[in-house]
Amino acid sequence: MTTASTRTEVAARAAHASKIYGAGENEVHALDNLDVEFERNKFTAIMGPSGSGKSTLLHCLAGLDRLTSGEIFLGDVEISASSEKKLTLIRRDRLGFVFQAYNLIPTLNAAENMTLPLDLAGKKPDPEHFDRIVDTLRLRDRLSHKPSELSGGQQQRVAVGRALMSKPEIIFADEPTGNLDSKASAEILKYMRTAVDELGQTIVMVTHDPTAASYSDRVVFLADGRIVGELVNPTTDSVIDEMKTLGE
Amino acid sequence: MREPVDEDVVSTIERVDGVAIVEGAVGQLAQVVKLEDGKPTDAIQHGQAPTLGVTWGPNRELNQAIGGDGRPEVGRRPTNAREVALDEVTAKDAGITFAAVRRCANASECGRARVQVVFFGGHPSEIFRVVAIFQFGTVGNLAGATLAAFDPETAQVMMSRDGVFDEIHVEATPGVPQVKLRNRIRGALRDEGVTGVEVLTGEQLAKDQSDEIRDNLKFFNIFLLVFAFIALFVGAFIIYNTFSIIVAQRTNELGLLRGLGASGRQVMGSVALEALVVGLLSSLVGLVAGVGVALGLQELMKVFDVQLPSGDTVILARTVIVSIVVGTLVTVVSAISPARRAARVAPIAAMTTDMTGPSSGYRRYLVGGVLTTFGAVMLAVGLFTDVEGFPGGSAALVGIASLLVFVGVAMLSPLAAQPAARVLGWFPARFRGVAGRLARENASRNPRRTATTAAALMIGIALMTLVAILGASIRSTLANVLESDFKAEFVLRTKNFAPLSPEATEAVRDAVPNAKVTDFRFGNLELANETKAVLGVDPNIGSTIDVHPRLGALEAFRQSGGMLVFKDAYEEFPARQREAGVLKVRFGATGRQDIPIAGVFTKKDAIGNEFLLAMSDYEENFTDRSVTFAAVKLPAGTSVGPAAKVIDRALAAFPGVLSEDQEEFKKGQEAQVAQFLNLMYVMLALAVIIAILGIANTLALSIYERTRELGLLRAVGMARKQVKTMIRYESIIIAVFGAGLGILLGLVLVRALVGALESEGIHFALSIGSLVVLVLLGLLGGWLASIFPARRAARLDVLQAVQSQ
Repeated sequence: MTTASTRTEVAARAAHASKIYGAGENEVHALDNLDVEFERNKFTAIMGPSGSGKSTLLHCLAGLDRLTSGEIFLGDVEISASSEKKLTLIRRDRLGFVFQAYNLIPTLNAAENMTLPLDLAGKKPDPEHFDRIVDTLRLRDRLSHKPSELSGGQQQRVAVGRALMSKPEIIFADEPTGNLDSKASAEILKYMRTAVDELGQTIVMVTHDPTAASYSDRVVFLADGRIVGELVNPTTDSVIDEMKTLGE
Repeated sequence: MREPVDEDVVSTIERVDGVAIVEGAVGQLAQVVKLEDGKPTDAIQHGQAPTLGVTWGPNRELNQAIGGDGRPEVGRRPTNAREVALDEVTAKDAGITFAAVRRCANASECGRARVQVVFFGGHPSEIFRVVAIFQFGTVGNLAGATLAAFDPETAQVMMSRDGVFDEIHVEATPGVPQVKLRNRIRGALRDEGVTGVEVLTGEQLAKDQSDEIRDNLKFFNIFLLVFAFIALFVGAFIIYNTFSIIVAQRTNELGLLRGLGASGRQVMGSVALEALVVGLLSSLVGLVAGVGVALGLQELMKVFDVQLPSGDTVILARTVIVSIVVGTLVTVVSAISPARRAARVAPIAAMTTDMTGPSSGYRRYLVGGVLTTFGAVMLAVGLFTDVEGFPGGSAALVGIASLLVFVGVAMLSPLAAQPAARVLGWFPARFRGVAGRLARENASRNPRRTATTAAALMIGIALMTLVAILGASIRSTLANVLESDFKAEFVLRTKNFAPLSPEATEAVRDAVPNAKVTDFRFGNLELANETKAVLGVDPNIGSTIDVHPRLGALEAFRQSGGMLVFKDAYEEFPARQREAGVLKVRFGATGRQDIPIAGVFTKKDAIGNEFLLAMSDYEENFTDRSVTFAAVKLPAGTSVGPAAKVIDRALAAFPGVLSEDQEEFKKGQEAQVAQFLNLMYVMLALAVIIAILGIANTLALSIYERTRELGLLRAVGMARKQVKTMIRYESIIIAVFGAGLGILLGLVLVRALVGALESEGIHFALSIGSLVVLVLLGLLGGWLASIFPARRAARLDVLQAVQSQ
């Protein structure tokens, strides 16, 4: 792990990260003294069984949750020490989000949803960038539609568009295809791949789907709050094999 | 309308078998004035309470003579024309000590134990020696009234009751029943041919008096209950809205219940039961809080200078039961429609995530339209026609009609909610960035919820608009009348609009010799079996107040007296009477009389009466000489400033009597109107506060419903401040929408009301300032309503919110 990351730039990293829920007898270590790095301009997948701590890791990396001990760095900034106010600004200006479902504000149309973080910052979207994203995601004829008028796949495309719009340092995706059929899933994952390859984005995605993981550059496997394995340039089969190994 | 009794009746009654004591009594207005160095200074009066002169005769104890439980504290009965007895509080205010009175009563060293008393029947004011101080019960005097007691003969002379008494008190010999003696006296009076004397037993009199007090209190009770009802009505809207929202939010749960086999009736029953429990608990809390508020409100009234009779707070069992029953009932009734909607939830709803609930569609608008139309028609009938046979009269009809209009408009209001929210949301959307835009979207995303929430505020604001514009109309009418019809430069009146002594106006006549002074004296007469108010006026009225008489009317009035009649009243007379030119009327003192019609006048705005009787005729037919008010027109070429000084000097001997120029008079009248308006505003403020709580409630429920959405917004970078801004503007949009609806509806109602009052001389006047204030009130209300929900929304845990369903 150290060999690869010393030469490549690090977009985000966790150091000695621990997250403990409950106390005494009921103490649960969601993250257990975990160290991990996420490289810039790479698509990383985090996998692991339920309760492995993969979602907790993502939430802590994204500044939505706080560690019990340890540090989270976003570039050079230690976000685990930032105030709530500062975290909000970091999320708005430097991070992008794609959630599993209900990603969009129902009262805003597709275009407004995509520019929401920029609007919250009082910034105007770069028209060229906007057009490029809209065309890549094939949302041109859906811009004025409200989320209720869009299909599930279209909604997730808008969510990806929103994450890309502010050119964030890193995009966090939490089971982005969890609610979609396989065709729509493939489409979304292809767009995310494109975003990394063509727009130079960095994506960290939590998933339990080996096929989804196969779109990534690297898969990190978690169990009991610790990194238990890693796979570079994964395929669906290699991911399944690794999962089987870990499961035993 | 009781008229004095001839004093000869006393001897007639004395001869009746079973009579022990008979004593004539006088009860009139008499103003006690404090003396300093022998000069009159302060007229003693407490608030609006009357200043009374009574008799303390030789034959009876004081408490029998003046009623109640009056008893002397010090001194003795006044026995001659120079002596008076005062109640304790009045004596104290006049600076008279017990010691001084004791010396005066026993040793005739009266020194400072002297007061001046001003009379209202024409007798000049006199200085009296105070020979007794007496007490009324425990409080010193009765409800603030001042009491001066005289020897009966003195009272007759001073209070212009020569040869007559206002009342004759009779005591029976022991063993003779009151009713029997009353019948004997009636018989004796009939035998002597005495008419016009009413004989009542003490019991009957006490009952009449307590009935009268109860009637007065009843009016006050109804007044308060009307506002309590308005508050409940507003509350019902909020309860309805709350249950609608929670039923919608529980659609999944209710669908599941239905899926598990619950019948629609059972689902409805569960919601109704919830309403019953909530209503019962809330009523209990409300009852306890109400007792607390009752105490607080008394303090608040004092701030607004509204005098209320004070006393112990009484909690009746009836109050407790009625409050709880009414509160619970209103809650259950308000929840019925949402409960029925809950019963209609299909089992499949358990699977869907749509939380907006079934839409009610056109039926709601149809019912709303019908109710509005029906209410409007009823309103018109109540306002513009004479309603007979409707319980409670036209006031009740108008009240119920307004109620229907409110409900109808509230049902229709969702139609306007979306466009209104878009228009009102323009400002935040334009200037408050995406938070403002979201506020606008949130306010218009559920028009029914927004409209119902706003409708609760609409009611209070509509009534405030009505009060404000009615007040403005009255003020503007007053100003117009003063400008156009008031020729007099000064008005003479007392501080509290009680009558003044004719002595006072006489003094002004003497002081400004060429001035025209018109006295106005109030009285009642009977015309065609109806009691009518009449003003006795000096025939020079044409010089002081323009009543717009028809050609020749004033000429005839000046020369031969008689009656000036307002045109509307004149036109209602039978043709026969108009041709004859004579009114057949009955006066209390002189019985049936023919009064010639001097002419017709066409504007009564300045005087408010339909019948003006020449002063000579008034004096022949009324015993009262007190002046209601007087108008003073200076001779041409006299400047107002110096004249005011001369008049003030002449009135110095009459403390309590004011001479006001037009501006002061107007201000005084306006202050009276303003005082009433303030009382109404305070009462209506309750309805507005409840509505504001309702907005806060709806917002809190909406925020709960939108937890995930809020989490998402926070996750993608919405700052807490922006969350607050978003909620605040949503609240303000709802509140201003409600205020706007209220103002529109209020304007329609008040326009109709003033239209109906046109015949009373009130003309419609718009007060833009008041409307602006009401809009600002809506704005402020919205802001206040948002404080708590906005804080809660801003403090949501982002991660939990994002993960919630």
